[in-house]
Amino acid sequence: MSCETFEPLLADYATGTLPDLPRARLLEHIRECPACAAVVRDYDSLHQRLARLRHSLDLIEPPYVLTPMEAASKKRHLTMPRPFVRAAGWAFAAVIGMAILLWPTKTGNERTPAVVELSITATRPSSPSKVHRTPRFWYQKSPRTGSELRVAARTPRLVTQPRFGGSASPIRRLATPRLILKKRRSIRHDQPQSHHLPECLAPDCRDREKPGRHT
Amino acid sequence: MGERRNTDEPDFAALSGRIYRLCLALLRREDAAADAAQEALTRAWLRRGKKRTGVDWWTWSAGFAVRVCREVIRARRFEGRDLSDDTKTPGHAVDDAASGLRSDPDLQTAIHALPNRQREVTVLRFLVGQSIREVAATLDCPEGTVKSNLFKAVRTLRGRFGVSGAVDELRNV
Repeated sequence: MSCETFEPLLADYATGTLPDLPRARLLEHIRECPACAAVVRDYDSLHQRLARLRHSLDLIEPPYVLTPMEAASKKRHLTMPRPFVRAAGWAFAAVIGMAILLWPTKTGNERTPAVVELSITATRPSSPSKVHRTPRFWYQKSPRTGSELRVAARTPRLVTQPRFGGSASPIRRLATPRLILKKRRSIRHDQPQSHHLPECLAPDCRDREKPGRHT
Repeated sequence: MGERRNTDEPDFAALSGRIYRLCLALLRREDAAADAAQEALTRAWLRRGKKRTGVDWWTWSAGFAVRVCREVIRARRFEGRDLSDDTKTPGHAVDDAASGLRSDPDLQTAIHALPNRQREVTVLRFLVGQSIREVAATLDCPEGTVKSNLFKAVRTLRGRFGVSGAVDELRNV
């Protein structure tokens, strides 16, 4: 049998995990093979040195080691706060929470109307003085709060078009359809005066196939 | 309800000695080994609820000891120091109880120079006396991985201390 056959056995012999029967076969082989015999001698020498080192290590007396309960109690004492410190912490947190709840809130006029007023029905304003046009949006003065609200976009924007130039960011692309879709819920198609809104996304819009500028 | 956890108390006197020797073999310093042993036993006790029923306290604690020693070595290497450097400081006292640590310094240096995983399996297998299965349970890895790393380590050590000369490169043993 060739030496390659005994290479796995030599590997197990090196790690000290070779069973008795294969060990006997290996020992019989090394009587005839000087190369394998040299390898086995090296491993034996190494094992003997490791055994001596282990024996000397076993003679070492360990120093006094705290039991885990003693060490854990010391650790808890150092890291956990004392009871009255914990109670003071809870009291402080309660005071902060009450202050936040009872803090005087702002009046309705000072509120940001961006979220609250989006549900206002977009209709044609009765008085032209209440409306002013910007290059891109219609604005209407809210009868409730008196602030100017952005009602709708005059020019529908294609989703693929970048808003501020450059590459079309997915975040910016989502901003436009969200505004228009929210307006869809408040659009009253039964009133002809609301038809001035961009209806390219409305289901019954005649100009749906022609997304672009609405005059 | 689920598997019941084994939370009985072990013999801490015997266990602390074995853990200390394991840490001493890995770190080669008495003070660092004592601290690491203390930390390992504390962690093993605090996390004893997660110990499975079939795992003994020695294997459970040895896993924590290996991890603590790994952290110590990593911290020392990050600081640019080696553990063996401190043994040469003038203030380092010669301790008769630690005479075993000074036996065969060449072999200890060679073991310490091995890669982390190979060093750990070598110490657990040959200096602590665990079986392959126990080493695999301690390090939480398969037995094949343990045997592979162990063989690589022994082959490296044989290449350095081999009586017959350099390792035969044509043979992979």
